[in-house]
Amino acid sequence: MLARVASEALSGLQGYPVEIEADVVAAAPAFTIVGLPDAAVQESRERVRAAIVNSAYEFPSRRITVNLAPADVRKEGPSFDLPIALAFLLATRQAQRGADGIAAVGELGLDGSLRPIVGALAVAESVRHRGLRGLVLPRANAAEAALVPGLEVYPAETLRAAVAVIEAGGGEAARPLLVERLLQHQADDDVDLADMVGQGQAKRAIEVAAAGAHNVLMIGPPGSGKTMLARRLPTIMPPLTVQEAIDVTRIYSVAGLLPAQQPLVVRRPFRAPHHTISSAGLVGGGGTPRPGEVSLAHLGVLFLDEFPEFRLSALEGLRQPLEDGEVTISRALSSVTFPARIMLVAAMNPCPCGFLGDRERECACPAHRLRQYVSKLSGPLLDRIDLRVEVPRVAPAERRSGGQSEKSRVVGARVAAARMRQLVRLAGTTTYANGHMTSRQLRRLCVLHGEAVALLDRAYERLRLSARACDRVVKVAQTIADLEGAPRIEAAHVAESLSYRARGIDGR
Amino acid sequence: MDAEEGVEAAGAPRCSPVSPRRLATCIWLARLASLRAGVVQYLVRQCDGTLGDVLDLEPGKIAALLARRGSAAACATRDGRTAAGESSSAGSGTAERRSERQQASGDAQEYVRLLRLGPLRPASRGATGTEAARSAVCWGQAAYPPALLQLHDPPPALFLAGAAPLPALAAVARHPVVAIVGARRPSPYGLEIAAGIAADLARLGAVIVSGMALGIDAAAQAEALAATAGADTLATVGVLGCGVDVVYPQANARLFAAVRRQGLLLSEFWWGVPARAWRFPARNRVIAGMSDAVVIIEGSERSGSLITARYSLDQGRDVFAVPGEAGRRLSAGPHRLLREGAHLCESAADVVAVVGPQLREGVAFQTAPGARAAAPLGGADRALAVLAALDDGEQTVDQLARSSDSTVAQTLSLLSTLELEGLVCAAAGGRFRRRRG
Repeated sequence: MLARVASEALSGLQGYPVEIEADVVAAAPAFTIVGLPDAAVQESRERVRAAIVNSAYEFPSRRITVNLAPADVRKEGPSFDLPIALAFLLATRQAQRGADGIAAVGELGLDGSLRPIVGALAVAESVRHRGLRGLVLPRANAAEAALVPGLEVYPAETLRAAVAVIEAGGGEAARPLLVERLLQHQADDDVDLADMVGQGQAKRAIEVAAAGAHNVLMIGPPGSGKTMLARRLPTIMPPLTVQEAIDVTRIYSVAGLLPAQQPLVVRRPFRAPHHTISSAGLVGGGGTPRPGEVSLAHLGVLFLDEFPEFRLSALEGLRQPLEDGEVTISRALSSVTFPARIMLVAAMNPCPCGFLGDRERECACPAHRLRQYVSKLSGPLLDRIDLRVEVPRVAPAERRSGGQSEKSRVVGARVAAARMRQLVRLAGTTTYANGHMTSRQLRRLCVLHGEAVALLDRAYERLRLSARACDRVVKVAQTIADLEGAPRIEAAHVAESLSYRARGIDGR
Repeated sequence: MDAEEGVEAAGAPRCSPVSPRRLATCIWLARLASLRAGVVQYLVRQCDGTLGDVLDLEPGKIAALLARRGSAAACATRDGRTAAGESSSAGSGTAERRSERQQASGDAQEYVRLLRLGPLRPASRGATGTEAARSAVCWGQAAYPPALLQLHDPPPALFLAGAAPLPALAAVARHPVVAIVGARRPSPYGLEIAAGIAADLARLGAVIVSGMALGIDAAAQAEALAATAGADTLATVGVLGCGVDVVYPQANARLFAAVRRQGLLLSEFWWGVPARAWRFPARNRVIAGMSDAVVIIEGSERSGSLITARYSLDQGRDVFAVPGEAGRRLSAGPHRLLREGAHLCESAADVVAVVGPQLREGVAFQTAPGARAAAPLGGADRALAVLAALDDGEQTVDQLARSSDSTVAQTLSLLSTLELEGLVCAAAGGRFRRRRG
């Protein structure tokens, strides 16, 4: 007898439908799975057999054939365990089908318990998209799937519980979760800009960066607070919108990084990979493409400390995501696109030993090492970093005197207002922040005051700026104007913007 | 201009004509000196006179002297410098002594053979198209810088490169000449001072002489070029420790091109001769010999800059040292010179004050250019507060914002305008300071 169960598989961040067919005939005993299964799916046979026996069902001595359709796409992972077991039980009439329209995913333990899978959110979205009514899945994934509106989610802890859902054509559905509410009720961040003493210049720089979604390069000796600053950048960025939260959660879900207790990513991601990371780890890759750190930092901050120490291939791999906001990974059989709209915060020491320009210690780097250190940062990559800021070590006296620091909430409000002005100005374009403006948009949309133009010309001449550097200055000046609520770019904005260039790295 | 023409054109105008044999000897000696350290010095000492006396010797006598130098070197000799150069102390066995002797007698034989061939052409080593611009001046020719004649062992010949090398060399004689030398790996402070002094002196009509090395040398020369851009004056002369057609260090390739275009490159070493450690002290002696004053900016106690300073003192030239922070390695050199009585130099004005009155006849610094006017953004009060704060030394942006009672954003934009006006500049480590020099 033949039985079918609807299921789902993942390709990148997308779910796609897979039909599980099971056929049981009276012939020499065998259990085969066809339809391009990978090793994990092949092993599914053993898990399914044990789970069925241990759930007090019978495993008859018949010839059992399971087909995963469509048969020409490679299937992988253990998430087909549950639908295979269900199809088998239906085919052997150990279970009766109730109402249709319920898909199933889940990994089985040998004792018949259900284990969580990755990508439950994407799976649930795809099920909903197919027009199916409900989804049976492991309880640990239920909250995540419940984020999808209009889908009945049936959490199950064991194979028997899943069978009950299928037989009844429903059951006790998980309570749908409202993304808006989850976003509202998030706890305060555990870090705040006010924690940092001093560093007014660097704080101002990350405020400007957050306001215009500009990438930043911080240059300073070890221990000056570059990492602390970067970690606080997400706290002043505008909160995630509903759609953004879903997008980020989908990536974390597929990467298997969603914390058990937290169905939704509610904060802007902050990723800080170590500089020994491979190119595939940074931008994504692998036999079956997996999202890399740039995608995990989507809509958040990617912090690369010791920037010049990263592998050249990894750094060059950043160019496409910085330009396009996404990464495309092509493989022989498929090509997958992961979103990667990040704010890059790069940090480096002023020289390999870190003490160039330090007042207490002398730098011990030979000149050629210094040149090598800086030369690893290619022009095209630096061109995509609008702000460069020096982060000096805070003197002990200054650390004590401290003074009042603004809270992240206060700075965040200014940033949000500035973003709003940009949205209005950039309405009708594909960009939403100054940092992503093309030079054509720059010329069309940015209005410079006469004095600002004069100052820019003077700077162009005296500081020998390149045309690209000039574009960067205008872009950042526009953000500064937006922060101030000014209708056009004034000379003061250009002047401040000029200070965000790195003298040691771009030449003058 | 063909190389040989250069030689003859240089010899043409006034002064007693140089005999072809003497010219040939000069050029041959220059070539020999490029390969063996201290040859000329040795010959001069042997005749107990000047380079002129050596050139007046019979060829056979010179050859004999050279041959004797070989055996002298073999006996591990009074002449320390001979051994110091190419065949240094490490295991000076008999084989090495023999090769030393062979070298010397080989030199002598080559000399005699070349003399028999008639007048030597400087460009005889394969005159190709690129070598057309080559030129040289020999000892005794009018174009030879008179200042160098005061050296104990002047270079027998100078090889030149530049757009118009001979007019440029003539210009050197008509202008105050100031050498600016210092550390190859200077601090940002040193670079800033070097650039400031070089720019101001160049604007005042001085020719900045330096060694085209990394660091202070390059900063001074580049800034001198930039300061006089557009003006039709000679801003800088680069004196090399290798052939004038060799670019060393490679990192300065762009500066070499610029100096070749707008200034003058000069070397006592034969074309194509690579840079070697022993040639740099020799170069420093030429730098010192050419200059009316030498400014030393940063250097350790055993640096090449100090060698230049010693040569300058030997020549009776004024030595200036720029003080650095106490206790730093790079401050040791200049501070030692100051202790020994060098002039203290904080800006171009110090050099002008001391050297100005003693300059040669018909040579003078020009009057100072007018001060630049500045109208900084964000109000004069705030600008004055910032500048006053900077008078106490380097400050971070945060410190300046506090002392001028303004926000970081306001301070940043103020600093940018002050920087464009040349009143402040960025120091290392994110600090700012008043611009000096």
